[in-house]
Amino acid sequence: MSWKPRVIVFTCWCSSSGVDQAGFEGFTYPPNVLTVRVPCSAVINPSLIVKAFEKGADAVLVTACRPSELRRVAPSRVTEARVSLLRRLLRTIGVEEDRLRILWISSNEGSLFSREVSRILGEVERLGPLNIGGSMVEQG
Amino acid sequence: MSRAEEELRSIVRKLLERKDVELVLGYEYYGRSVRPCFVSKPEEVERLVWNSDCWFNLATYLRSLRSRRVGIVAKGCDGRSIVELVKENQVDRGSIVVIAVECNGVFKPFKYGSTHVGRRLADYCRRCVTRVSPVADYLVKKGGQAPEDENTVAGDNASDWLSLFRKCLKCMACVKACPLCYCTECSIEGFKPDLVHRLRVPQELFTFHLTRALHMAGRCVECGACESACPVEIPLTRLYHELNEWFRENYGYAPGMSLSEAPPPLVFKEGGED
Ligand code: SF4
Ligand code: SF4
Repeated sequence: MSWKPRVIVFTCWCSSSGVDQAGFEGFTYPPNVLTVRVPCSAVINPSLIVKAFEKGADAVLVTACRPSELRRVAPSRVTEARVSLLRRLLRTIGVEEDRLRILWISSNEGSLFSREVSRILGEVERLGPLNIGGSMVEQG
Repeated sequence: MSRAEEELRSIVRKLLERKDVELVLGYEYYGRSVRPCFVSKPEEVERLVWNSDCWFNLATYLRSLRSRRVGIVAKGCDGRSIVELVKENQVDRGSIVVIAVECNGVFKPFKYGSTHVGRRLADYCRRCVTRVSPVADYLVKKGGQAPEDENTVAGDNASDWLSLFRKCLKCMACVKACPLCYCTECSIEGFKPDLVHRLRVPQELFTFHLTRALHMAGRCVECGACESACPVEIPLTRLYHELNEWFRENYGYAPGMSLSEAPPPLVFKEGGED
């Protein structure tokens, strides 16, 4: 099969070192997974996730710190709420909500990251291509 | 002229004669359709009407009249948007006189090229839970039943949202009609090509609509002004209703129901384990 799902991963500062850790420890993750590093998962504008879908992502993954590891208010909880709202929105308009996931990844969990990403990639492969951008432009 | 209209006019006349307000926002006939009107003299109150064609949400004008004392004719949903505007510090409750009118639902406005014929109760009015505004200084009772529904076809249950979005012209009528879309720097209206460019149609319609939905989530009062203003009849309110349902399920919150209830994002509490 030639089609490979394109997955965008928004990683917060801490979980991005978890992604690095995956490399250090010799774990691999597929090349069609593109990571975007942001200072904190709570600054990810949900519109950017939507835009990623429109620009051709088949799935979007948000990785954030475990709420229990944060000191005060948990920005991860904010992100979690936003992702849950966005999943509801995707379901309403008829896009499979499993194309958007949130993952708790700490800076030392490289193996967890590579394992979870491969699992999610397999699921997205089963869901098939999304192609929102194309279906919005085509006439009909 | 109905009894409710008579009552409405006498309230407005009294307010204007006593100089309690500078002007009153209401509805008037324009040909056979209804449009918003601004009444500032007691002798003009005869223009005012109130019936099931008054679908506009007059609260949209309140922000531009912030420095003046205004009276406003408000249906249930309009009253809820006034509550939201007050909660978001956009208008001052003290300078607004709310003339609440009991509402039994409004008709879908007629549009050329529309698929429906006959007068039909708007879909969002079928979902309505607030017949009377939660804030009111005066109350005009209408009584009677819901308006006659000439079309028996149930709500248009189109589920293919992507093809609905594709019809959109990015005309911004929905944004302009909405009482709660007031940001001076709108993220979906600009000409700077960052998130959504105004002239890129039909690209970015997906981002346009989902962004607007996200910005209205937990704030939309389901007044249907956007949906009625839309020239291509995209049932926007149904989409925003789903997100409000999410807020109701998770936080037990409905926008615009009381002045004291803080919106969930303001009182966000962490909780639970990971
Ligand atoms: S989004 Fe539409 S239904 Fe909601 S408050 Fe604005 S105009 Fe009313
Ligand atoms: S009013 Fe309708 S056509 Fe115009 S921008 Fe809004 S959804 Fe699109």
